[in-house]
Amino acid sequence: MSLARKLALFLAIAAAANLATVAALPRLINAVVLHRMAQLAGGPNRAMPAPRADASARAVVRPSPDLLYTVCVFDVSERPLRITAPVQDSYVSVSGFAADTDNFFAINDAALEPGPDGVKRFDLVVAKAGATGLPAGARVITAPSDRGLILFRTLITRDAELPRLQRDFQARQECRSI
Amino acid sequence: MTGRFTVAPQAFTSIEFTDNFYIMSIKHGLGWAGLVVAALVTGVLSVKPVIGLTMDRLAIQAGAWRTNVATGSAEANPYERAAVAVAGLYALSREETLYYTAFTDSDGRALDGRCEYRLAGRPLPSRWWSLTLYGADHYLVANPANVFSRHANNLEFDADGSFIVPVSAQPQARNWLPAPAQGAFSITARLYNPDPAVFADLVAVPLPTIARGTCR
Repeated sequence: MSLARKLALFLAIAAAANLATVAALPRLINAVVLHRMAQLAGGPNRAMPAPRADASARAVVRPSPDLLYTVCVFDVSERPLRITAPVQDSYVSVSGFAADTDNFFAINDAALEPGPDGVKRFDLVVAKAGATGLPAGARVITAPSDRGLILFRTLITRDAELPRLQRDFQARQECRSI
Repeated sequence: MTGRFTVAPQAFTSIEFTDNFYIMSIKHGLGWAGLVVAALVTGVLSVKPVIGLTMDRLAIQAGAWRTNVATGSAEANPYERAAVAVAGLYALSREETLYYTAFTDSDGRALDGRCEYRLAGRPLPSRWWSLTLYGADHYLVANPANVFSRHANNLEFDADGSFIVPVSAQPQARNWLPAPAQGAFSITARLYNPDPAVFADLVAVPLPTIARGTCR
């Protein structure tokens, strides 16, 4: 085989190895982070409120110090997940990230309709495609992967608000299998 | 043998090997196994620079700031997705939050903890916005004031609605955003629920200018 052909083969293999590594990287990083978070939370499908991020925060890169994060590693392979949370008077969102790290949904307080009592609250169900027996009337979101992460973001508009937000809102952000 | 061999000038410009056996394996027939192993190693080692080059090519540059509209979305290509996993895991898609990050000042010089900077801007067109400083490791930087970000509720604005944020390792009297004493850092502007008009021209977003002052 000529040197040119060997070089072409070399480049083709190198390019394939490069792409395969790049394609696998998000899933690998995510799997490690999800495993660590699930361990801290005592398993999947449990909400874990995190303290406000500061210079000691090392769980996830580039955290916002102006948000309270609550994480929930989900596994909907067997049962759907129900997500509930109250809504404070500033920005709060619930978002979902698939195994490949894609943000497959994000809903914030502005997009919610008040309930019959006039109060806004999150009440969502995340299920895998084709899931049956879902609660009637629930807002159902189809997860593109069995495992992933639900992330609550609660905006801290003023430092003095922090204890109230943690007590009255972050502590009541829940996710559980149904 | 001592030599320099650039594997593929366009794709792998930063991957150069000194005194390597790759060229020898190809030229002198050290065998198929050698060629395959060398190619696999090259492919894996080139991941970081290729991601960097791809992100450079796809980024939208607005002054000192850059953004990528595919962040967090299913439209992201594998290189964009990998870059987000490394340096912005669990970033929201653009409809929820737009992220602009500055790694340089407005003159294109890398942000450096040995220098002082002056951010000058106005409120950003979104429901909520913030400016957060990160060290080279992508984490928040320890500082005596425990200030990691500036936003509408912890900034003092001038009478015309503009603001000035001094960025430095040394404490400043007003609107101080602490930086590391040395090393590279970056600043991320987050626009939560951007105004719809923002998406018409992502370069025209009125992000702060970043002027470098004195350096130690």
